[in-house]
Amino acid sequence: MLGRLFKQQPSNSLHNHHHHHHHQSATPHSNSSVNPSPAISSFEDSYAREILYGTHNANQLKPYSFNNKLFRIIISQDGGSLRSKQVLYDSAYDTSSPSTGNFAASPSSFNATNASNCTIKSVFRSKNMVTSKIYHNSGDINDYMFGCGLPTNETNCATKVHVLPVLSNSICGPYNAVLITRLFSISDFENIECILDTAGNSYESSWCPTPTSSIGMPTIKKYPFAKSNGSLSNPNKNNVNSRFAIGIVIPIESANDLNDVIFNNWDEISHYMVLAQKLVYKKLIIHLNNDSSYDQDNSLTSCPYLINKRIQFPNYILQPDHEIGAQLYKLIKLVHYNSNIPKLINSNYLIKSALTNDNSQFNYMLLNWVLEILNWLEFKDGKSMVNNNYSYNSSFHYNYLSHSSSNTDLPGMNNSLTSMNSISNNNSSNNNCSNSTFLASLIALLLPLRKSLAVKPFHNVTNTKNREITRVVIMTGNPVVAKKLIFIINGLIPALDNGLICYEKNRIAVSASSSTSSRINDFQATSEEIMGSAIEEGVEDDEDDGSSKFSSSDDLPSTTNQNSNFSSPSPVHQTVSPKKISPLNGIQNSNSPRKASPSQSTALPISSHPIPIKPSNMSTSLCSSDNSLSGSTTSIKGWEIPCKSAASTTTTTPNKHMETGAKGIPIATATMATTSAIDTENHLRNSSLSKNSSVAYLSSSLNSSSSSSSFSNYSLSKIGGSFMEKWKNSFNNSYTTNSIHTNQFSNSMSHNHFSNGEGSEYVPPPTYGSLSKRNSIQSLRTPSPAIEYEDFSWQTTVPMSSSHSNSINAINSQQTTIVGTPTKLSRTQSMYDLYNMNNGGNKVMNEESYSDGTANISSASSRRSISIKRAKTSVYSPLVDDNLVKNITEHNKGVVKSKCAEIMKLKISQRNLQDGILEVFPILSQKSKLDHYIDIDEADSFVNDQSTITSRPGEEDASRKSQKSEDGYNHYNLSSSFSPVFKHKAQLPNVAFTDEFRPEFNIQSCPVNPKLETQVINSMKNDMRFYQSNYNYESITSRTVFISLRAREIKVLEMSYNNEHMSPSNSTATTPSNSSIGTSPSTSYFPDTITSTGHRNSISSNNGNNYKTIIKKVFTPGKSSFSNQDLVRRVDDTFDDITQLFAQQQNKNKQQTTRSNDNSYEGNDFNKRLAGLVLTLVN
Amino acid sequence: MTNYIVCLAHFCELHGPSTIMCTQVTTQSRKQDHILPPTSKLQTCSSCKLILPDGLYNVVTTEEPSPSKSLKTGQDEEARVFISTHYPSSQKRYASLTKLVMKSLSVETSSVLSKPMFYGDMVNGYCINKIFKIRDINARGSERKYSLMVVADSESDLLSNWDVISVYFTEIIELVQERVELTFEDTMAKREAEASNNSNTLLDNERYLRRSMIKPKSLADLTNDDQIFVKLHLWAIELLKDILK
Repeated sequence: MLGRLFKQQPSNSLHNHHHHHHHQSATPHSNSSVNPSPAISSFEDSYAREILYGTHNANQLKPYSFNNKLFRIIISQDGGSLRSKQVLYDSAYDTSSPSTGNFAASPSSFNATNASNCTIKSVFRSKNMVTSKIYHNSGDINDYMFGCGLPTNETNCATKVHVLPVLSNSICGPYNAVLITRLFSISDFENIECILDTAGNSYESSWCPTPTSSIGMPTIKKYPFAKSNGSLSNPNKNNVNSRFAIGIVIPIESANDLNDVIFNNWDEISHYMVLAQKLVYKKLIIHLNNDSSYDQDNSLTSCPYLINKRIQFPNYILQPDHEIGAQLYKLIKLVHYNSNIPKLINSNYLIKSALTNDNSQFNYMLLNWVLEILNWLEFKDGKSMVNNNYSYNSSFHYNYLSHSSSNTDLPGMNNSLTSMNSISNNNSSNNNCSNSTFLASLIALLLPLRKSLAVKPFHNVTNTKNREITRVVIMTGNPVVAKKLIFIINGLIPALDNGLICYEKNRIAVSASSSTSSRINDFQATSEEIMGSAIEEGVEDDEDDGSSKFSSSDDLPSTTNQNSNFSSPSPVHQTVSPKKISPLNGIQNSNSPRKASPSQSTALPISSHPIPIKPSNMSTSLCSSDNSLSGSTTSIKGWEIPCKSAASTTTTTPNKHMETGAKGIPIATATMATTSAIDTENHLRNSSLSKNSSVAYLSSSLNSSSSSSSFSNYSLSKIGGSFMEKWKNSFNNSYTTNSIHTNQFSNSMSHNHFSNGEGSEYVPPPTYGSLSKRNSIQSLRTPSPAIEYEDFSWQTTVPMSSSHSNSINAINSQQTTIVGTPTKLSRTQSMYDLYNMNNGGNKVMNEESYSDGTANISSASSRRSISIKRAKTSVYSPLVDDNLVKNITEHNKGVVKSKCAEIMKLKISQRNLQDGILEVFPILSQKSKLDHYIDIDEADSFVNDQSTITSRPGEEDASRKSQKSEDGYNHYNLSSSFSPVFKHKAQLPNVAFTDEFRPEFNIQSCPVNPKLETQVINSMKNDMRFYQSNYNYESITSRTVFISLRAREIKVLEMSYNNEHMSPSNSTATTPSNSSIGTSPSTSYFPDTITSTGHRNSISSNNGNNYKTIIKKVFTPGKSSFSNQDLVRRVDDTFDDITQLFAQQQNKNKQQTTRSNDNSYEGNDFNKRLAGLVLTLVN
Repeated sequence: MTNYIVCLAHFCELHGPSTIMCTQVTTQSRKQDHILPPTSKLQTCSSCKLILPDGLYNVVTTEEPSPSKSLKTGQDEEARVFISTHYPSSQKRYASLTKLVMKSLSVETSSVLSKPMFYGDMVNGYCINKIFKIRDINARGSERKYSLMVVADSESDLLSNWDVISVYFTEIIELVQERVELTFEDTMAKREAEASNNSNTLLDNERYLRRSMIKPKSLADLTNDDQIFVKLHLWAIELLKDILK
C-alpha cells in the first residue's frame, strides 16, 4: 500500500501523506500496524517453508507487526548549552495543525531567525497533546543521544543504541522501542578520525575498532567562516566544533525481538544511518553556506549561526525539508522488508553436512535440492528425460517390490524399462552436447560468484582492496516457480564467512532431537523401516488413530525397534509392507504376501501382472499424507507439468481449472502408450479406488489449492489487498483450510494446522479478526492470475481457481482422474526410497497430516521434516529442533542463570604461580557430554557423568561442581554440562520473494515490473557511490545477475570502478555484440524503458566519476553466450550424471528384486556417487 | 578476529570512573602479553582494587582445546587462555577502555536500567554496558555505581551478541546484588543485636554522619566473599565462551 502511495504521490506531498498517517493514528482503532507493511512474501506451503527456511512451522516466520506511526526520526544539535539541546527536525513533531503550512514554505524563507522563531512558536502552540503521549519526550531523547553529565569534546562519529522506556498511553498501548543514534560533528578540526597506529607490536595493533559501516569524508565543505570580529591571525579557522545527532526510533513488538529486528539487520541499518548522516550534513552545510554573508571590507565570511564557536541553527530548521521527511518512509520500509521477509536458511551448509554425515537430518534438504534440480531440468528446461520419468515412476515400486519376499519377475516391463532407460541416457547425453540448458548456464554463471554472493551488499568488508557486490534478481510473474529456482541457487551459496552457522556439536543437537540413527545410504533398510514402523504403529490401528499417531512420533523405543529392522527384516514386515506402498505405485506383485492382509478385500492379484490393490484406510492415508507433505504434490500443482503431456493437460479454460487436482492423469495416459505395464496399473488402480482414497485425495487437492493460492497472493495486490494482509491471509488461509477439513472429516480430527507445539500458541491478532471473515477459501482463491502465467516454452501452471465446493464436486466426479496423482509423486517417492528419508522418530507432528487419523501415524513415522528453530532473519545456533526448545529467550535465561548461580556457589581452590598469577582450572570436557544434548525439560538437572559430580540444584553438597582430579586441584567445567546457549546467527539477505526490489538482498525474486531493471541499475549506481565515497577500495564492482523467467533470459549487469586506472574518458556503456538489446524480451514487453535507461545510467554518475557499465546477455532461449562454456558443459554433465545415476540405480533395484538383500552395498555406492556429484556443485 | 574485553568498572568517589577488572581471551603463546608485571600494582584505593586471594593480581584460566574442534580443522588448535587483570596491559586497549569506562559512568544515560545500552566509535571501540547500583552505607547516597561492560573492536560482532550479553549481565548483576543485600542484612542484624545488648548505645551515627564515614570499600567486602573477583572471572569466561561461539 505504501509503495503504491509513494508512486502516486509526488515527493512534495509527503508531508501531507504524513498528516494522513497522523490522523489515522488518532483513531482508537489504530492500535497495531495501522499502516500495513509493504513487505512480506507470498504464501508458502509447508514444503516450500522447509526447503527455503528450514522449518515448516509458519509461526516462526510470522511477520512482526510494526506500528508505522511510532517510527520516528529526530535530528538535534548541541548548541553548547548543557541543559538543553535544540531539535532541528522531528518527524513526530509534524502535527495536524495549520501551522505546518509554514513548513511547506521553501527553506529560503527561513533565512531570518525571527521567521523561524515565529514558526516555532506556532508549532508549540499547536502541539498536540496526543503526540506528546505517544512519543518520547524529545528532551529525554536528546539526553540519550548526546549523553548528559560530562560534556565531551569529540569530533568523530559515534553510534549508540538505547532501549527506550515503555511508554504507556491510551492510544497506542504500551510499546517497546529502540533508539539508534548517530552523532557527528561539523567542525574545523578535520580528519581526526585517523587512527594513530602506535606500535608495530602485533598485540597492540590487534585492537582495531571497526565500524559496521564506515563513513568517508563529506564531499561538501562549508565556507571557511570567521566572525567579523574573529581573530585575524587565522581568518579561515574559527575552531568551530558542533555536535549533531540523528536519532531513529524503531518500535518493536517485544524487547526479545531486538536481535531479530535490529541487530541482524545492523549492516543495513548502519548503511541507512550513514546515508542519513550524509544527507543531514549536506543540508546543514547548505544552510550554513547560503545564509552566510560575505563581508567585503574585511574579506571575511560571517554566518549568523556561528555563536561562541558553536553552530546554532534555529530550531526546526530542517523541518520543511522534504528530502529529510522522506527518510522516515525509507526507514519504515527498510525495517519492514528486512525483518519481516524471512531470510532463507543456508541450505548449502545443510546439504554439505548431509553429504559428509550419513546420519544428518538434513538429508531432506539434500534430497529435495537434487529433486528440484531434476524437476527443473525436466519440466522447465525441457531436457529429454521422458524415459527417466518413466523410470522414476517405475523405480518407485521396484524399490518396494524388492522388499517383498518372493517375486516373480515382470519380464516385459523390466525389459521395456531397461531399454527405455538406456535410450534416455543416450538421448540426454546427445542433447547436452549440442545445447546447454538454462539451469546449467545459470549455475555455471553463479558458481564463480558464490563468494561474493555470500557477502551482504552493505557489509563492511575489511582487509580487501576489491569490493564486489553481487545480487541475483529474478523477475517473475510466478513466485512459486521463482522460489524453486531460488532454492536451487541458494544451495550454492556458502555460509557467511563470519562464522559457520553451526559446529559439529550443533548437529548433534539436531540429530539427537530426531533421535534416529538412520543410515541414509541404506535404502533397502529405509523402506523396511517404514514398513516396520507401519506395522508396529499403524496396521492394527485402523480404528484408533488419534492415540497412535503420537506414539509413532514420540516413542523412542519404537524407533529403536525400527532400527533393529535394518539388519534383519522380519518376515512380518515383508508381508505387510507392500500394502502400504500399494496406493502409491498401484502396482503389486502377484506373489506378494499381501494377500494375507486383512484389509485387502478386492482387487486380488492376477499372476504375472502388476496389479493395483484396494488401499486400506491406512495405506490411503499414507498416500494422502505423502501427497500433502512431500511437497512434490504441491510442486506439481504449482509448476510441474511435463512438456510431453502438455497438450492433454493444460487446458486452461476456467471450468477445467477444477481438474487441477487431477492433472496427473493425462500424464499417465500419455505414458500409457509406451508402457503397457503402467497402463494396466492405472486402469486397475482406478477401478479399485475406494472412497477413503478419494477423501484423501480431496484433502490433498485442498491442500494444493491452498498452496496454489500462493499465486493469488501476488494478484491480491492488484485488487487492493495490502501486503501485510496478504501475509496474514496466508495464515488465515491455512487455518481456514484446515478447519474446513476438520468439519469435513470429522473422523479423528483432533488436530489441525496449529495443533502441534507452538502452533497452538498462535492466536490471530485481533486486527485481522475482520479479515478472517473475508478470507474464506473462496476469497483466497482469487481470480487466478492466468494472464501472468508466462511462459515461454515452459508449461504454465494452472492455479486452482475453483471454489471449495466446486473442487469437492470436481474431485468426486473425477475420482478416476485423481488417481493419476500418485504417479506424479513417484519421483519424490523414489528418492525417498533411495535415500532413507522415511525414518520415524521425528517429533514433529506434521501440520498437514490431517486428512485422516491414520495419516498421522504413517506420515510421522515415514517422513522426516526439517523444523529448525529460527527467527525471521536468523537461525539459532547450535541448530536445534523447533519443538525441542519452545522459547529461546527463556531457555537461555535458564541456562545462564543456573550456570552463573553454580559459579556463585563454587568454592574455588587455586594454584598460585609466579608472577602473581592465580590459575583456575577447568575440567576436561567430557566427550560423552558433547554427544548428549540435554533436552530443555531436563535443563535444570545436570547430566550425570562419572567424572563430574552433578546433581539437581538445591542438593547443596553435591551440587559443587568442583572435584579433585589427579593433580589435586579443583577443576570445574560448566559449559559442557549445561545445555548450550542459543545464539542468533544472522542469515544472508537472501529472500524468496519480495513485492519490490530491495538493494539489501543478495538473492530475491520480484514481480514483473517494467521499472525493475532500472531500479536494479540505480541501486548498483548507489553501491558505487556509497563505496566510493566511504571506503578506500581500489576497485568496486557491483554486479547483478538478472533473470527474467518469463523470457527465460539471463543477463549480467555489471558496473565497475577502478581507482587506479581512473581517467575521465573511460566511461563507456559497453554492449557486447552478443547482447542484442533490441531483442531483449523485457524490452519487447516494455519497449521504452529498459535499454535506454541502462545506457543512460552508465554515463551519468554522481561525482563526475563514471562507472563502466556492461550489460551482457548470458543466456537466451536456444542460445547460451556464456563465455565459460566449459563450465557450463561441466555443470550440464554433472546434471546428466545425476540423472543417469538415478536411472541406473533404478535398474539395479529392479534387477535386485530377484536377488538377495545385498543392496545395502549398492545403496552406499549410489550415495557416494551422488554425494560426489552434488559436492562438485555445492563445494 | 574480534577482540573482546569484559570489564567491571565503577565510579570511585576518589578517582572517578575507573576499571576494577577486565577479562580478555588470548592464546597460550600470546599469554605473556596480557600478564601484568609486579611493578604494575597501582597504588589505589580499596574500592578500585582488584582483590585476589594471596595478593595476586592476574587470574588465568587455560582451556583445553576441544578435541572435536581440532578434529574438524585437522590441526591442533591453540588452547584459549582467559586472563583477568586490573587493567589491560596494551596501551591502546587501556586508552580505549578508559575512555569507554568514563563514558559509561559519567556521560551516557539511559532511563531503562534493566536494559543494557550500546555506544561506541571507531576511535575507542564499541561497548555494551549496563549500570548497576550496590547498596553501601558508607558510600555517598548509600550506593555505589558499577558498570558491567563488554568492549569489542568490531561493532557488528558485538551487537550480534546483544541477547547473550544482556542475559549474562542480568544474571551476574542479580547474583552480586543479592549477595550484597545478604551481607548487608547480616551486618545490620549483627549490629542490632549488639545494640540491644548494649543498652546505652546511641543511635547509629553512621547513618547520619555519613560524610565522615565515607570510606572506599571493595566489592569483596561488600559481598563478604574474598573470591568474588575470581567468580567474576569465571562468569566472564562463560560469557566470552558463549560470545565467541
